[in-house]
Order: sequence, then structure tokens, then C-alpha cells
Amino acid sequence: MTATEQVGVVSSEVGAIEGDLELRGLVKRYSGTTVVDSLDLTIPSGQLFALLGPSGCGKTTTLRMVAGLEQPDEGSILLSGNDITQLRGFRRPVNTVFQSYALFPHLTIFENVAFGLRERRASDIKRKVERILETVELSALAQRKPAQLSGGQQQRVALARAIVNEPQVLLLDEPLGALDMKLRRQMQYEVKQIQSDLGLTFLHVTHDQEEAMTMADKIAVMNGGRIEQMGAPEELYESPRTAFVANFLGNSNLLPGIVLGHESELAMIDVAGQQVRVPSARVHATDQSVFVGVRPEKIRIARDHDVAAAGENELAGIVLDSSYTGIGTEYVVEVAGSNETVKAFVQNDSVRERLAPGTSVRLIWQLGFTFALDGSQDPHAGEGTAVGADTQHVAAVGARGRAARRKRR
Amino acid sequence: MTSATTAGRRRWAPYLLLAPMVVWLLAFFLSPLVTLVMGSLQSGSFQEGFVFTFEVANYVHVVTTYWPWFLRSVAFAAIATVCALLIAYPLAYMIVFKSGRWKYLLLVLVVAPLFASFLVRTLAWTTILADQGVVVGALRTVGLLGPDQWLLATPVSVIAGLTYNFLPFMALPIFVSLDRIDRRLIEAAGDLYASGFRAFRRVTLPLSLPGIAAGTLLVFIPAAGDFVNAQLLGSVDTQMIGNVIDSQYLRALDYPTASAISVTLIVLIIGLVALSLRRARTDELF
Repeated sequence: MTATEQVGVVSSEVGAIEGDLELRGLVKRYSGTTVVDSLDLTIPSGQLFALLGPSGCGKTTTLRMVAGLEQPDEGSILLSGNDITQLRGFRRPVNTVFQSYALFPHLTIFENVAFGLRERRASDIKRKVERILETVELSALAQRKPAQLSGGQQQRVALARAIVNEPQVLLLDEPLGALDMKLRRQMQYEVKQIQSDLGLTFLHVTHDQEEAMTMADKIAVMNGGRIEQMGAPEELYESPRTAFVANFLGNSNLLPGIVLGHESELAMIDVAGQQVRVPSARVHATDQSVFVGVRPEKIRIARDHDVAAAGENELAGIVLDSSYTGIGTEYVVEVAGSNETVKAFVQNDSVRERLAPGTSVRLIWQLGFTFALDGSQDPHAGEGTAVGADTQHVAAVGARGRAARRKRR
Repeated sequence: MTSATTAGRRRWAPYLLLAPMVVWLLAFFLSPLVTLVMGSLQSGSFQEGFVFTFEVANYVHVVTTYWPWFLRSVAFAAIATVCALLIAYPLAYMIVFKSGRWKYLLLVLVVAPLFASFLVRTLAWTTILADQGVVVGALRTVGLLGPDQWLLATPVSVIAGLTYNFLPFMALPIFVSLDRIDRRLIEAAGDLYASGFRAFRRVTLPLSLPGIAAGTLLVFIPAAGDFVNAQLLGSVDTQMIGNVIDSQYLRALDYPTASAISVTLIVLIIGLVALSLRRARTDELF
């Protein structure tokens, strides 16, 4: 370690775990626009953490600040308890897999991978490079130049070039964005595999909600430079706290309602004259005016003989439209006594007649799938910004349908 | 239209497209070259006329008599090329990476001297480097030049003139090759623990080698054959091979000797260029 390096690393916290990455009050502005707005985030060691958000939400800027490619205007970055905010990028024990791969065109694959090791004057370079090339199954191409490789192969070189340095944190900037669907799926799996094998901390930046959900242990959804919500994929999907998260991760029905009162851990909410119950823990609003939310695939469309159980919500409505999507049928149902519509996705898992427009139906779903959000926000926030593998469809199909689709492929 | 004629057209199209260039090369490159080589093997005099006698002795005469001029030309051109590289590389680097929105204005300024005549620009240097001029005065003040020393009519002024006159031809290709480098590669080098200097050494410099090679050719070749700079800024002792060709053709009217010198110069330059390119290719060029 050189003298400057030691000056740059100031131990500020005792007991921090090796590899923990902590961002404190990070702010970045570009000519007056705040791109990252007082961001606080702790990424525990050994996790695959995804920063998910639409383009322009500040996720890539956050990653570049961690890499040392941008300097934050305010706040600090701590790695294993050491403040690295002032440390120059090339002195930070982090490596990046760039979206464009940024492989050196004049060097062979071997030399590309060996680049970081040579800069650090590591020992045993040949063995280390050969082993990592074996891991990514590129040993045979070691003497080729990057231009002679396919996109997927280049992607693996970029990954190997970063991982071979055994960084404390590996930063991935939309690393699979340039690959086609099939290859992306395969690489998602491989990256996840490598991460759990090596036990490294991965910070994965992506705008693909499906990719984030399949790969990450934990996701932070970013919007407008701030974190909207953070949690495990299931948590974000099943219990979104804002309209943005509800719409960006999959599809949600958000119906305006008024909280009437609470009864034994349940909030009673009036929706167009009908009553809906939401577990109090799933009400993320302070005001009486709320949006009641439920995912389309959680809803059952009931006719006369089907009655709601004690643990279920029920809304009467009229079928407006339906579309057949193969594995399922999507209904648009107007809630009785209002102009609000609800999307319901019904899996075609039994023989039944498609309901004609105008049919009176009842929408039934379990209480535990209901959530309530603050009524003052835009119920359409985050809609249409989600990008991924035919997102609209996937979003509507949801978890059950996704599993089915994967099986078909 | 029948398919046969279409196929016929297809077959001839490439040749028709090539034709103008072939004609141009034949008329303006190959035929003068052949004439030159033929001329270099003639004997006789201007008064009695020259005859083709396959006079290989011309070459022996040229090499034995004029080798110091050849040597000086190659040395001057080589030094001027190195000087141009040392000036043009930082210049192009600054324009590409540090000048921001002034980039293209600065690039135009690099090329701007070419708008003035080559001769006039070189003549201007006789004023700049004159004994009573600013440069000599300044150098004398700092003591780099004694009171009885001067710049004009020395190798220094000839090399300075060559460097100045051919600088844009070095700066432009280097500018292009630096400008083409993906900045993200330099970021990636930094990400892989390379300091600013190391990233330059291992990424920027190797990727700009094609520009350096092109610039070196564009400066060295014309500089080796130049005679204007030596004529205007030099003395009898700093004459280059171009001056010899000039005087043999236009004053001595010894066409075979002048032709033999020209052919020798061409062969010499091609040999040197081939040698240096072969060495460069074994390096990190792609």
C-alpha cells in the first residue's frame, strides 16, 4: 500500500463488516438538476443488490460515484467502514462491469483479464487469469482480440476482467442490456451463480424489473434520485409502499378510497360505495384518502354460485372488455357505481366460458393481497416506464404466469 | 432486359468504376516513374543529347558523390519528424481531451497556416530567426546563444522550418486517432487500478499508434525530399538532397544524375518506411 493510499483511507467505524458498502446522504447535481438526492443505502457484504429504476433515475450516477468515476457533491461513501469518498477511482477496491463492456481492443482476452492484476503487480498472474477464464469458459479464446468474440463472450470477458481482481464490491452497470433475450436469461443465471460461489458483494444497476427480481437478494427501487422502496423482491412486489413501485414492478389496480376506520388490525375502506378491508400493516398512508391496490393476477372473477370467504374482499362490477393471451384471459371490469376499472388476470387453467362484456361479476381476492397507498400521489406514476422482457404481459401475468412461461420456452 | 446482359453488366461494373483511378495512376504516377528510371540510366550531355545506354554507373556515381547529402536529408527529416511528434502529440491530446467546446476551433487553427503559401511561410521564418530578431535576442539574453552565435543558416533553423511546415500533417492524424478512442476505455483502465499516467501508457498511447504511424509517414517522406527550407533557412553546409536534385536539374542540366538521385531517394525512403512499419507492427499495433 502506498502512502497516499493510507492517507485516503480513514477508518471511521469500528466493527464494520468487510465488504459492507454504505452510502450516506449522497447528493449529485448536474448544472442545477439534482440527479441523486440525499441517498442513504447500506449494502451488506455478500449480497447481490439491485438498484432498479427507469432511465434518468440516478442509478447509474450512484454506481459511478461508488466506482470513483464521479465525485458526489455531498455525502460520503464507506466501504468496510472506511471512508473512500475522497479516494481516487483507481485506488478503490471495487471493479466495474461496464454496459458497453469497454474491453481494450488492442489487447488479447488474456491481457484484458490480466490488466488489473498487472497494475497491482499481483503474483501468479498467469494462473489466476487462466482459472477465471476457465470459470467463464473462455480458455480456448485467450489469445483472441475482443473484436473476434460474440457479444455474449465479450460480456463474459468483462465479467472475468472485473472478478479476477477479487474486489470488495463488484459494480454491474446494466451488464446484460446488450444481449438478446435467451442469452440474457442464461447470463442472469450464470452471474448469480458466480456471485454466490465467490460470496462477493454485487451492486447491480438495471432498468429491467424482471432481471432485478430474478437475480437480486435485495432491490432498491429508485425514482427521481431517491429510493422509493427497498426490500426483497417478494416484499416489493407483494407490498409496495408507493404508486411508483406498485406500477413499476408489475401491474397494479389502484382504486381511490376513503378510510372509514380500523377494526381488529383491519382498515375498513370505502371504494365507490362498497367496503374493502386491508390489513393495517399494509396501509401506507397517513391521510384518510387512499388508493386501494391489488395485483391483477390475485383477483378471482366470480359468478353467482361463488361466494367470498371470510378472509376475502369482494367488489361488484361489470365486464367491459376481455382479451385472450393464451395462458390467461385479461378482463377489464368496471367497479359498480363508479368509472374506475379493475384489471383482472384469470389463468386459463380450467375449461370455462369467456365472459361477455356487460356480464355482472364479483371480483374476489384475499385480504392479504390488498394494500393501501397514500391518496395524494399520482396513481399512474411509474406506468409505462418499466422496461424488460415484454413487460406489459409479464407484469399482468405476474409470478405464477412467469413460471409457466419459462417452462414453455 | 435479359438476365445475360444484367450479368454482363455486373461483371464489368467494378472494372468500370476502377477505370478512372487506373488511368490516373498510369498517366500521373507510373509513366513519370518509368520515364524517371529510364532517364536515370541515360548518358550524354544536355548539348549533345542524352541516350539510353543502361548507364548503371550513374547510380554508383550518385551514391559515392552525394551520400553526405542523403545522410543529412534523412537525419534532418528524422529529427524534424521527432520534433513534430513531440509538439503535435501533446497538442492533439489537449485539443481532444481538455479543450471542451473549443475543440474544433483549435483544430482549424492547427490547419490555418496551410492557407498561406508554403514559400511565404518559410520566408517569414527568416524574419523570425533573423540575427536581430526576437528569438535570437531572447536566446542571447538567457545565455543559450553567445553574442557571436546565430540561428539562421544553421541546421537548427532548417530543422525548425521543416518541423513547423509539416506539423499539421502530424497533428491531424494523431487528433483523429485520439478522438476516436472510446473514453469509457480510459475509465475502465482507471477502474482496473491504472493511474492517469498508466492508463495513458497502456490504453491511450497504444490506441493512438495508428495516428502516430500515419503522421510520421506524412511528415518524414515530404521532409526528406524537401529543398525549400534548406534553401531559404539554411546555408551551403546544410543543403539537403532536394537541393542537389534542384541544382542538377535546373542549373547543371545533368538530367541522368538528377534522375538517379531521385530514384535512389525513392528507394531509400521506401526501404526506411518498410523497415519502421515492420518494427511497429510487432508492437501493440493491431
